[in-house]
Amino acid sequence: MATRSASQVFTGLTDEPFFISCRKKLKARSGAQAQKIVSVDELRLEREDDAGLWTTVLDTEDFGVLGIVDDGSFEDGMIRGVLGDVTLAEYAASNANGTQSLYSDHTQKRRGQLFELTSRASISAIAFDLQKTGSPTGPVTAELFASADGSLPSGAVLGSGTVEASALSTAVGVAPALAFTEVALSSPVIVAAGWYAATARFGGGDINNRIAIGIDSSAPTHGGHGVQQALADDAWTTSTTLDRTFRITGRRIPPPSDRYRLVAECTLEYLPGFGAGGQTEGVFRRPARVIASARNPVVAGIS
Amino acid sequence: MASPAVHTATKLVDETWFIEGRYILSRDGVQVATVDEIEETWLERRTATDPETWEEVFGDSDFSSVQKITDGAYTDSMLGGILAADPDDDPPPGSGYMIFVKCRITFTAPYGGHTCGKVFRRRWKIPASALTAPAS
Repeated sequence: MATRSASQVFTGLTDEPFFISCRKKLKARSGAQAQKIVSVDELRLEREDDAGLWTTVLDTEDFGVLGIVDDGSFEDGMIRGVLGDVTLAEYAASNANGTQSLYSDHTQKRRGQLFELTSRASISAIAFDLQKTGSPTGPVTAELFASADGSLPSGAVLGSGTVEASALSTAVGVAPALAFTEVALSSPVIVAAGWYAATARFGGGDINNRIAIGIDSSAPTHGGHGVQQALADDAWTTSTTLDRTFRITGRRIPPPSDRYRLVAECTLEYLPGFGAGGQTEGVFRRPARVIASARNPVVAGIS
Repeated sequence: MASPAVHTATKLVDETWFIEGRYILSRDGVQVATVDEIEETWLERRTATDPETWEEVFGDSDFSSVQKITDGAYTDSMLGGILAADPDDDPPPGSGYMIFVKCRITFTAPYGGHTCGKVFRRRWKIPASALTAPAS
């Protein structure tokens, strides 16, 4: 941050901060501040392709704690923010029309849902529509698996997190809770674009003290299928007529390239003594680049 | 942000390293953020240049004494540590190394006061010598 006009460098590996200094465009010919930023109406990270065209890689919703700060003596002359968490994939809780149980000796050990990510991402949390019946205790584990082609989960657990079963809300009949319980992963998991499965597992309780996960078996419309793993032999199967409601939270990670720019569209206000006052619009840009690393490797075709 | 300065080490293992974060954490010569916590440290080696590809050669558990340090007037702005891996694992000489340190930082109130993440990095070069492991 020593030089605001220099490129903003991102690694894509955490919720990194950025600043866009706008003072050069906010000053009058005399050098005094003439305008200040009132609001940031839109923010984008754009990437230039080989034909010189710019495409949006991240938009306003991908940025967190967006705000306006002073830039030296210039009041409200700089934009600040971080790369923030967004919903990466979801089948809304409001779609649920019933529940399925999980407990220690249930025939299904894990229940979950396949989903597709269209870009590289850092996944920080998995949410399901979870509720309890009776008094189950012990950890409910949300887990993330890869899926080679979107048909079945495969390989080892990529990441996981837990929530205490006793802390879940109590079921009312067989109705779904219609509200998500978010489970933070123990550490964020960086994954490439592709198919994945989010699952829930509960190794405690019994038929009278169990947890349940929300499902849509009426007219499911999610692009992936429900999946479950048998207790007896760990075999995965899909449910083509059933989707489980879920939400995946994390950050989209832009692939490495030197050809990015941050673009902020703002509302500006003239300071007293400059013109007739009032508000105008202003667009501010800052070059940016995303560096390559083992954890954020180069994507073919993006330079 | 300018490219990070290159640290030259006779070898990697058991050698102390530092990363000056003051240039990242200051504006107009005034500190605007401090390092709260170091979350992870790792070292990568470049395996190709066009396009640039990297592989991780040492992970967090291979480092010891990783700490934040006050650098003159800049509180908790410098990072330092020791790569404490097995000396037999010393990687070959070369200039394509990069150390990464992932931290939580907090900005001062005038700059928003928020806590967020930041990955500090520094290039690392190991010149060939009789003591360094042969290139593979």
